[in-house]
Amino acid sequence: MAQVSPISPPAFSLKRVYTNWRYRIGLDPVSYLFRLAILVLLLIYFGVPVLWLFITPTKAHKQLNELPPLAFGNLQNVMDSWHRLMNYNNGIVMTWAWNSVWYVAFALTLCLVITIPAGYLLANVNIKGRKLLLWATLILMLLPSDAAVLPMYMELYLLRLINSPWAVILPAGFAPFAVYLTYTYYKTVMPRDIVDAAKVDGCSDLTMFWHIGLPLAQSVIAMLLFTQFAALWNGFFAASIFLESDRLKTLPVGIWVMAQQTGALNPNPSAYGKVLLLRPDMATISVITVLPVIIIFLLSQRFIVRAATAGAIQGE
Amino acid sequence: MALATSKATKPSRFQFNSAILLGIPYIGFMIVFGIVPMILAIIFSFSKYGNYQPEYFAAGISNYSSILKDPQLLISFGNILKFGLIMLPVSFIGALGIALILDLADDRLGGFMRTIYFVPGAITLPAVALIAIFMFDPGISPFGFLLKLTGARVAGDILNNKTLIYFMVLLRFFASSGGWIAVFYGALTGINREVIEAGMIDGCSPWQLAYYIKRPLIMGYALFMLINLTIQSLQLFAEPFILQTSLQTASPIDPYWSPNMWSAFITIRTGDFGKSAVISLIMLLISLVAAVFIVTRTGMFKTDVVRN
Repeated sequence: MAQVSPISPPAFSLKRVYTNWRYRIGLDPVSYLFRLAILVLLLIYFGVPVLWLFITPTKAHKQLNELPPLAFGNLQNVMDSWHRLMNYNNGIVMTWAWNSVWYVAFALTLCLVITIPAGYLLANVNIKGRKLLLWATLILMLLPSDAAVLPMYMELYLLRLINSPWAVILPAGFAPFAVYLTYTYYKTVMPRDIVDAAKVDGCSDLTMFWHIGLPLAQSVIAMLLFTQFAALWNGFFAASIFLESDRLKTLPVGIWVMAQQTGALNPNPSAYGKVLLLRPDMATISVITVLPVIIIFLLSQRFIVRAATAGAIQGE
Repeated sequence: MALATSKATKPSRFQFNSAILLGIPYIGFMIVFGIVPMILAIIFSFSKYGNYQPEYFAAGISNYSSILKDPQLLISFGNILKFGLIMLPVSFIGALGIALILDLADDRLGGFMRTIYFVPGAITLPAVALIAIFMFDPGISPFGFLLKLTGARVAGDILNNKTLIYFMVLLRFFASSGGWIAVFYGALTGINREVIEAGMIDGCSPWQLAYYIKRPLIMGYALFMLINLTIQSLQLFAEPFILQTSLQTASPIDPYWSPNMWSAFITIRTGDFGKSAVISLIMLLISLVAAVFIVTRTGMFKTDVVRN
């Protein structure tokens, strides 16, 4: 019986490797290198300031000028900076951090509780005034929220809510863009046929929302949590105006308060007499503030992009 | 009998649909936090303020004439107009160009770079302003060698009233373009491969494909981006405000640099809500025109009540 010889693997060939690579990448080497050069330049523009921010807490104030900008200092400096921050104004940084956490938690909950039923209503229930409500949602979601902060201040002043956490929590209940996202979501996942069939079976709109709409809401809740979290956590203008007492402020506003009260950002800190904080400390508080959002941003990039391209998720 | 039948079949004009309960909280919040502030702004704009206490409708149109005659109007709105005129093309060409370059090749490097460009968008604006203060200081900035080439020794040599707008553009592009790059990149990867392959068969190079085929297909997003950036430019506040207040005496920025800063400055310094209401109304009016244009003309937000 003749022995079948195994098929020998093809000999290594540079030309084949190049052809495979060229086919996979879709670019000739010169274009690829040109693209690479542009991407690296952009990496420096976008990445170096962020990297610098994370490295700076490892340096002492003097080392900022002495060491190369991207050189790592040591962890002891991070601890020293942490202690200075904790000693600043009786550890108010932790109060700000806790404020940020619970304000955002309450605001997010309020936003979801109001937004999900409203989005469902606009998408699936034919009530009188629905068109007007949808129009108002579309127009109001495109108005810049910061432009209305001072009129809002006047209203909260009349309601005696200025300098209260509710001044930043309650306005989060009105989130027209989140309602629009929920509306487009329900239009996509609950086709008209399903809604009509359920109605023929005697389902009321409220029952349908409870038994079909709410269980289907998981994806849109995730999308809203990620997108609204970043907006609420980073909110600055309203929080800086509505919360007057230092103990009520949030971390982003706290950065500004520290910079103002300590003169830490001034090139000549000795001009301020007793220097409470230094430049590396401002970098440390910034890292503490931005780290949760960066982590969430990286985890939820897909959702944020989908929310930003909501125009492409068309309604009926 | 006939009367009874007619009564039985006649539908009631006021049928209560319990589903309205789903929307009542939203409608309530929309009225309180969306519509009432605007109505109050209109009322306050006609009111006179003395020691933070209003005399309703006592000012007539004096707040309007005062603001419209104030030279700060041209300065603050002029600043954001200049900022917008530079920012819009830079952001548009920059974000679109970077997305097209990322999409030129199908490799993991593109995805990694896109993620890195995306990260600054997560940084809160006060921290962005802080980074800016450090980045423009030739003594400690990683770009210090470039800054020193201009002869600068301290941040104030670079960051001054003349150059501020250009640095604000650099700053905003750093903080916001990552999101737009991701949006354009997502739209590019959604383009039908058959269209791309047809272009390749016709002899298009990757660069020609990017310019002649991919770019026109995502122009809808570009229009939305331009209008959105216009509205964002209008409400510029956090970065110039923090640069202005943090650097204190060393600050190159006026306290009324942007309309929002001017409005806050008037309110905090004088308690004159009437004048700040007029500034807010001007901004809201401009945004309202842009919003109505977006909804009715661009086709970006198609719903079953708006079709284009």
